[in-house]
Amino acid sequence: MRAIARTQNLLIQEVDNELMVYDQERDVCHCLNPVAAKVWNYCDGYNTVDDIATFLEQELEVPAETDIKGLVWQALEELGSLHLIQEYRQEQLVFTSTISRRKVMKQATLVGGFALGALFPMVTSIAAPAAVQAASHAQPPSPEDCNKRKFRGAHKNRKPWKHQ
Amino acid sequence: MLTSNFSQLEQGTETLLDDIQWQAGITFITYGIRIGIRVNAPSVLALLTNYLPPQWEPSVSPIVDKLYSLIVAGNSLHHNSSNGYHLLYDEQAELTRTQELEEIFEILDSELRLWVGVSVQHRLFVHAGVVGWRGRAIVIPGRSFSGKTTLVAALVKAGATYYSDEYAVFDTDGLVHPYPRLLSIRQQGGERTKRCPVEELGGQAGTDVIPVGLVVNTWYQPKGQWNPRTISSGQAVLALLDNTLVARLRPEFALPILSRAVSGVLALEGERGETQDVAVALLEQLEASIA
Repeated sequence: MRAIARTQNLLIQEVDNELMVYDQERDVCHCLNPVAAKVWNYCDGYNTVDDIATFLEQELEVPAETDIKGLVWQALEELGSLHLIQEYRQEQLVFTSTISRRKVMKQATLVGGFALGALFPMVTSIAAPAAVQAASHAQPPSPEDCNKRKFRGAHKNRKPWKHQ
Repeated sequence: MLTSNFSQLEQGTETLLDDIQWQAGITFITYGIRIGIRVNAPSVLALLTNYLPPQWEPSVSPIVDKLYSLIVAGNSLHHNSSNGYHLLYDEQAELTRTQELEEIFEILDSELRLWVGVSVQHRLFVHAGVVGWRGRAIVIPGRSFSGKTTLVAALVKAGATYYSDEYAVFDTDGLVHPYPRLLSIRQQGGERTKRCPVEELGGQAGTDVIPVGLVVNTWYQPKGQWNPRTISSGQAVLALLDNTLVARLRPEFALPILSRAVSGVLALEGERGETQDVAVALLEQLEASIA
């Protein structure tokens, strides 16, 4: 199975070792942690899940007992749910009940004394606020206010006005 | 003609504001945006200037990017006028009508801040409280009623330099510029917001452009304990973006700036209780991260 990362209508910005991905179709911004970012970057339509797992194993310096492939599946599942995977080549991605965060964690804990948090692919997301929602108000804005206000920027050179 | 037009306005009938003979007005520039406010009562202008964006400068040009019109009912400054409503217009659109002039000023203040924050092209406005400490900015993103001003006031009293209780203003390098408006301290018991110069708190306003040193994503919780967790730079970007005026309008502009601003910077998240303890802890945490 080979996944292809979506590229259309996305703004991508690196910040330290994470990746910010702004989905312009949904006005949602995602923060991909290093593991999720690596998995997503390797989704070029040519790398298989096994390939990606191999890359991560080399780059993350994890003990051999860690279920790296499970982490990759975990990441792909999450990225797919966030509309960051464009398509899958060959067979359709199949998620079995064995691929779960709990299973991956259990296997990883067998390693012992290891920083688990950094290993898990994680994506944090927010819906980008409209201008009215993000602004301050004398009183909290109503839902109607948030929906009806539109801003088109400054007018240019409107006609002069005078007071008497 | 003036009287008949006002009668029509009070009756809700649409009329051409440009036909009214306005008695006074002001044109000013803020962040390169030209704004005009015209009024039917000259004595209102002196009160209005307290609600203009910080660092505004008068302009002699009659050409403006945005025009507001304020009609004071009965040409009177008395509050709770029983003669009619005060009216505020944004171009030709009625923004509000109220019998309390103070409410008009507050709404105009809010509208100006929003419109300028959205329209300015070379600065990124993030709804946040900001103070300076040892040449670094502590940025506290948050919406209205999140307690930013209270925390900013506590930080100022603890010795930090006041930058803003309203906006973190970023340039394209991710540096923070001052936005030193009067602090809007909400009063209890339903009383109106008190506008307070930072000097009344024993503090001073910052003038330097400074880099971010600490991002604090926090919310007030009664009896809360300040026990924050460290969040990543990416999560700090999200916290700031969530309060960025042009997040949806210009994400291609906002994301790079926020990323530059928080790269390598300590970012904390957590609930807080009493602000005094939190203020001291934040200054200590920033101090430790700089050392």
